Parts: sequence; C-alpha cells; structure tokens
Amino acid sequence: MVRGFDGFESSLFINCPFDREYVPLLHSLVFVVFECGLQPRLASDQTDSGHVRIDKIRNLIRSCRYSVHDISRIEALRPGDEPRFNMPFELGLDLGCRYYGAPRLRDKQCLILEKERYRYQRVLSDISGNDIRAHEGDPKVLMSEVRNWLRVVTDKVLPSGDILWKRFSLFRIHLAHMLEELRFSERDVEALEIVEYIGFIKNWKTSPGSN
Amino acid sequence: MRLTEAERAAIIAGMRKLKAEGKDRVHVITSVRRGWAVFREGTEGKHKTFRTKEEAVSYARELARRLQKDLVIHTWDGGLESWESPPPPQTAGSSGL
Repeated sequence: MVRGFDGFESSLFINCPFDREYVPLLHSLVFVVFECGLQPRLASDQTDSGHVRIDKIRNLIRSCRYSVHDISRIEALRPGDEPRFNMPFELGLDLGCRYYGAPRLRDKQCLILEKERYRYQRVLSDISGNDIRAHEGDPKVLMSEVRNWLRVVTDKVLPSGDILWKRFSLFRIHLAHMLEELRFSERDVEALEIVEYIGFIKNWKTSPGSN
Repeated sequence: MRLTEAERAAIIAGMRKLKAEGKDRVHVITSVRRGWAVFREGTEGKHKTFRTKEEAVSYARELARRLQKDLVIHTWDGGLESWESPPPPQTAGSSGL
C-alpha cells in the first residue's frame, strides 16, 4: 500500500532557498500557488524534529503531484559564500521518483526555476530539456511564470498574471494590517514562519474584501 | 526596504481609517509587463500603465484626489511604501479671491 496520497492531485511541493534574500520570492510563490487552487507544501512546514529531513522531503515528494524547484542558489549569493546543493539534490529525487517510484508518480509534473535563463547549463546541464523558466529575482515575474506553467499542467482556468499581482498587492495590505494588530515588529515580519504566512493568506481569502 | 517611523505611522493610520470607513483605494504597483501600473480597488481587471514610477504616481495622485480615495504606493515586491489620504475637496467660496 502506498502512503501519503491524500490530497495528491491538489498538492504542490515547493523546493526553494529559505534565506532572507529569497523571502519576497517565496511569499509571491506561495501566494500564487494558493490562488491557483493548490495547496503549497514545504519542508519547513513539517515541524516534527523527530523526523530526519530527508524523510520529510521524500514524503512530500511522494504526496504532491506538482512541484516547483528553484535552483537559483547554484551560484553563491556573495563572494566567499558556498553554493547551495540541497535544491538540485531534491530536484533529482523528484525527477527520479517518476522512473523508480509507484506507477501513480509517473504523472508528476515539475517546474524548474532559475534566476537567469541559461545559467544552469554551466553547472547542471543534465536537466536541459525540462521546463526551466527564469524569474530574474523579481517576485512578479516569478508569479507570472508559475501561473503560466500551472495553466498548462492543470488545464484550469486561472486569473491572468496581471490580476494575480494586483490581488497580491491587496493581500499585502491585509497582511500589514494583521501584523500591526498582532504587534509584530519588523524583525518578526522578516522571520515570519511560512506556516503563519499561509495562515494569513487563508484568513484574507475568507475576508469580505478579497473577492 | 525599511520604512521610516513616519512612513509606518502613515500606513497604520490609513489602514485604521479604511477599516472604520470602508473606503476603496487607488494603487500604484510595478507592472507585470515592465514599468508601473495604476488601478482602482474593485476594478482589478482594468489598469493604466506608465513607463516610470513618477508618471504613475503623478497620475494616481490626481485620480485619487478627484475620486477622494486613499492612494497606496507599493514597493517592487508588492509591499507597502506609502499611504496618502486626499486633501479635502475645495468648497465654493474657498478660492481666496
């Protein structure tokens, strides 16, 4: 019996950096996934420290039909920093499970994001031929690229990238209001747990002004 | 981008006023197709685009003044940069002449 298939068709695994510089892109990415009717799943939303991280990743990959992998940290952010290899590693696990996993996993769809269009070819040419899109480090470009990809792979009717970006700006007002009422400092905002952020999106989507 | 205390206070005051009065707003955001866009809340399907932020803010400020709505200017990542309330409309006989 294969475990972890509840919500498989409506779940999307997000594999991305969790550094401070990536936060604007992460917020945009989680928002667009929600707006397109899918449930974002991230390793950081699994808080049980009793599980080894690689097991959490495997379970997430196995329980999500869709996945987005941002490998833009294959280049170090600053001179002297090391490049990050977790994202390409998890991408490899995801691509591999289509060939070596249960039959249902062969229907998995994944999008690979990079910052610049062909930069990945210098260090990871094996993935050429997959769906790879560039976000230019810009949250609205990322939102548009993910939306366009989801339009194709889910065959859902989705709002345009313009509409989604406007809705995101309206949500940001709601978020700022909620954080102010909860007495969050700017430091708290920057360290906001993604689970909390998702909670604020859900709260906004049920509020009268969101539709 | 870190807000100054004054900018933060203006945003908070605007949000509280909005909550009390339920007014719509005019927004300035970066445009998906480059440049900057201005839209009115409740009409997200329509917007006007501009090549520069200054042009967008100038147009939006005039629109907000005419409609007597608050103006919200967003940062490059969708966050809040500033919140402005329109000056009260001039009444008859207040021209100073």
